[in-house]
Amino acid sequence: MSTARAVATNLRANVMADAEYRTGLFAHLWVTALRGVMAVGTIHILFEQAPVINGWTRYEVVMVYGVFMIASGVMELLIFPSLQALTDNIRTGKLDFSLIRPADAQVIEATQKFDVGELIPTFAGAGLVAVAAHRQGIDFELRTATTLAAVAAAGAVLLYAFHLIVATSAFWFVKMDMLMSQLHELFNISRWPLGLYPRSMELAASVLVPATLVTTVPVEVLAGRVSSTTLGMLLGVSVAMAVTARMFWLFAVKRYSGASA
Amino acid sequence: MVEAARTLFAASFAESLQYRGSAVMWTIAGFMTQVMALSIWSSVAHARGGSVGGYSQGGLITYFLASQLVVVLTASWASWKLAEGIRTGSLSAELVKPVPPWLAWFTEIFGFKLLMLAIQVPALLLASVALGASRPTVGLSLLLALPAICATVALRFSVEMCIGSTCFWIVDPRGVSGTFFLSYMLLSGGFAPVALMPGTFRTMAEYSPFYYMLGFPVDLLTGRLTGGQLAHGFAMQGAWLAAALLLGRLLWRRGLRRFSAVGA
Repeated sequence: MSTARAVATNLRANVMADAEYRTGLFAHLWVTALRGVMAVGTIHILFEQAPVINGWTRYEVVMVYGVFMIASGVMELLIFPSLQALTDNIRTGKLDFSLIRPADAQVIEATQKFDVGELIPTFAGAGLVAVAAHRQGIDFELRTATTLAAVAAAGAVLLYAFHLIVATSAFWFVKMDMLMSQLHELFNISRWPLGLYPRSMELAASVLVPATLVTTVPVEVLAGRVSSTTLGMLLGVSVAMAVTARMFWLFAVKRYSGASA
Repeated sequence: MVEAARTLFAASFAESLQYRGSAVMWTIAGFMTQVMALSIWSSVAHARGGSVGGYSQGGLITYFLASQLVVVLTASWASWKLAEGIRTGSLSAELVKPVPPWLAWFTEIFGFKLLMLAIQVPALLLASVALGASRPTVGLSLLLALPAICATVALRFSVEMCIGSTCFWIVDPRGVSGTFFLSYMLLSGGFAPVALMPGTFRTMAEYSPFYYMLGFPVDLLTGRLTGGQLAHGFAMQGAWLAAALLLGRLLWRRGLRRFSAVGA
């Protein structure tokens, strides 16, 4: 209960802080719209050269970009700001204040900051997926919706766990904010479906940047050509990552003697 | 002033040596961008039976490796420095120094690049051999790449100063810089060589300033341009450079007047 209240309080404080900067909202809306237009433009350039690339059509690739916008929106909204702050807190010693509170420190730390403005690209991405799916002529069935929800949840867990593992390394390494930003750059790889990369790169990309699974699999589900192996892989990887991340966090906190000690 | 600039350059280079890890990180990030674009276009070439729009597999590799070289030689982050200076007020301290702030940033950025070049040039050469890049033809085009790259440095820096200067009027430059970078990504030739762009996009790119910040010097390095195209390219680059310099100067002067009015 106290954990849920801590999350709610953190969220309220963040919404209030963001409401202070209303003109930033218009800039964000404009940049998001431009981002969508430019991405569709890039995909158009690509598919003018070949109508189908490695079995992927134009609208399917637009859908992957939409999912990428949702995933990066969710990351910026829920995951990235808090974990970036966590690495700072470890470095400066402020983490001690979270550890002595009567709620799970991981939850307090992982929910301390939200970038509420990131809801804009998240919704824009969803819109892009919907329009592209319609153009592709995809019939949306209830069974697909259930699978899609499971895949989305697994994807979110995977992204969170992956970033938590990196952020937790800050207990041992000092300058982690740089690595976190670089991971962000690396995440860009997942704006294209895995199948669009040459065969030799496909495996490397999915191992190095698990986010490629997160963006590719939902579109495969929508297109109705997802294999149970792929689904199993995404679910397996996400559960394994979540368990590893939690254990790593507990291990790190246990070994941590505190900034003041 | 030349002496001061030289000292700043040396200081910046010395500082960059302290952050070797970060230079390696930026190298990896830069290469990833090129590898991503190269991989996608390789798939397209494969789907079309080996080549696309006159670019063979090796030609694509040369194009994207040359792109990385031009990026590392010409990209700068002055807008970020200027925006930060205005926002925090630290620009006031820069203004009383005997070297104009823009020159200080210029030397600082390019002092830092020396280390990046020392890492990236061997890496690019190694990659070109390992991946089997096509060898560019040595000739007039390659020779002309040098002045084009110098003009690109000036153009990118001036545009960066224009973007940063908007912070004299607005608090958050993300709208302006986002518009710039998104247009740059599509039209500069960073993702697709202009020769592979369909008609409208190609015309838009060739008349926009973005192509002259990356694609044009890369096309010169890879020997893709001939007589008339060369003349047209240099004329366009010169015109955009003049426009950016004039606008940058105007914004900087007007902005400084405004900045001094806020208690600096």
